[in-house]
Amino acid sequence: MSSIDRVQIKGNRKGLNLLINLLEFKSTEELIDAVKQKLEPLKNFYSGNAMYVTTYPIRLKDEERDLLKKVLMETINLSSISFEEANRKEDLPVTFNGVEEGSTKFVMKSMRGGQLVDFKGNVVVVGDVHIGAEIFAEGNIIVLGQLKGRAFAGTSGNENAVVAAMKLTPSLLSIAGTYARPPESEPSFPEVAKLKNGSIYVEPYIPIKFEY
Amino acid sequence: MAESIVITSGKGGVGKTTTTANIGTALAQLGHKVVVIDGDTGLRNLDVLMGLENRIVYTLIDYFEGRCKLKQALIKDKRLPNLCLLPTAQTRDKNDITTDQMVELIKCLKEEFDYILIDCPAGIEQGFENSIAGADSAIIVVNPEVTSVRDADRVIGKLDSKGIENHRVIINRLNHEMTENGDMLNVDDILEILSVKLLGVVPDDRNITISTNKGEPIVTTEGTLAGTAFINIARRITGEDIPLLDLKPEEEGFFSKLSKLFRKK
Repeated sequence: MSSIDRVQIKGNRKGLNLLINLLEFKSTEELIDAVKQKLEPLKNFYSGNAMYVTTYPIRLKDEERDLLKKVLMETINLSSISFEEANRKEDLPVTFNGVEEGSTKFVMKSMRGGQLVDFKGNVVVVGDVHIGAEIFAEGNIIVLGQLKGRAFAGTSGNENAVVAAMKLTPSLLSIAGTYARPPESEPSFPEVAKLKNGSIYVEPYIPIKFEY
Repeated sequence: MAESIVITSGKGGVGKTTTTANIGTALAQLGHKVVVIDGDTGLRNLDVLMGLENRIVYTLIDYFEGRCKLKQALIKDKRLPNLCLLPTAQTRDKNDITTDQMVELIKCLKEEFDYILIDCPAGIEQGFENSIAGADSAIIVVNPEVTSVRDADRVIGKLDSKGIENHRVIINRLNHEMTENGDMLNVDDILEILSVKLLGVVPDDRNITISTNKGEPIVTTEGTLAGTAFINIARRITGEDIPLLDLKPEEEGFFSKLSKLFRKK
């Protein structure tokens, strides 16, 4: 990943927000270098503004904060610098939470081997998903046909995502990073795969009894 | 109205070139003006199968690079005057041709011929892109093997994304006995996996090897099962409604059964 993605600048109501993903850095020096590199070309543009810094997934140690504050002040002539608590929900890359109601992609024909759908939302395929095809969805995956390819639902971490198909025989199935292998036998009825207590459960799909 | 058809498969060695040569010859026998184009630059074989290897002077690439006229590159078949072969170069590679050139070429050929058959190389790289560029429809050759069916599925997806929605499949090298015993994918299995229209089934036939080595397409030899299958396919392409060939080996006669019975004792 490039330095642009691990250090981001966003503007909002409260002023400039510097977002830092600490998982991408091995040392404090590397972090300081990346921040400098990111801000150096923009120093005239941002000078005189207030900035607050958010780090995730954890907060910085006090001495690291002081060092970063010093570097920021030296690089850009900011009016003030503050630090936010980590893990503030709206600042983090969000988990897709539209599994009940959210943006959905419809694929109106069968997906053949080698074809790929990657969507930040739910995916509905009106047709079969042949072996060798792959679906990545941040939400649910619904196949109105036989699912033989690979299906990855809830890719951004939504554990409520489901995978449903008229014939659920994927070569690999994943919900929010938990994986399941294909079934031994072919089902003769539609099924739904859900994540419960860290394991994937496959249940027959019976419309009336189906509880979401 | 001229029609250009690409014969492809994804996997190699399933019989694309044999199919091209035979359908081309059969269509010409039916009285149509046919040209078969070898798309496998660098590994050309179509000329060998048609027995026209020794007649090649100019190739597709010579035409593209302006060293000859299109008429000079076309080779007339030695048996059928309304059949032509457009060979490709053996000493060049697939990147020496562009898709635009192929589209332009097929446009020119359409004025002259009824059917333009393009023999596609194996794979899904430049050679494939070039071969499908000017095609109106596609014939996918598939063997009753899982590997071949997988590759065919991939290729059909590619054709769909390129806008070639009219594709039909030929199941080649079907062994009737093995499918009966369940040792080989049968016609229905393949059609279910691929969900495409069937154009024909060609049985596994030793005569194919003989005809390949002789440079005479099997449709020119009368009475072979594979030859009849190819002729039927050609007639289906022209729009005739021909039922599928019965691939069951001929029933044994009464006397041969009887003599077998005695032999056992």
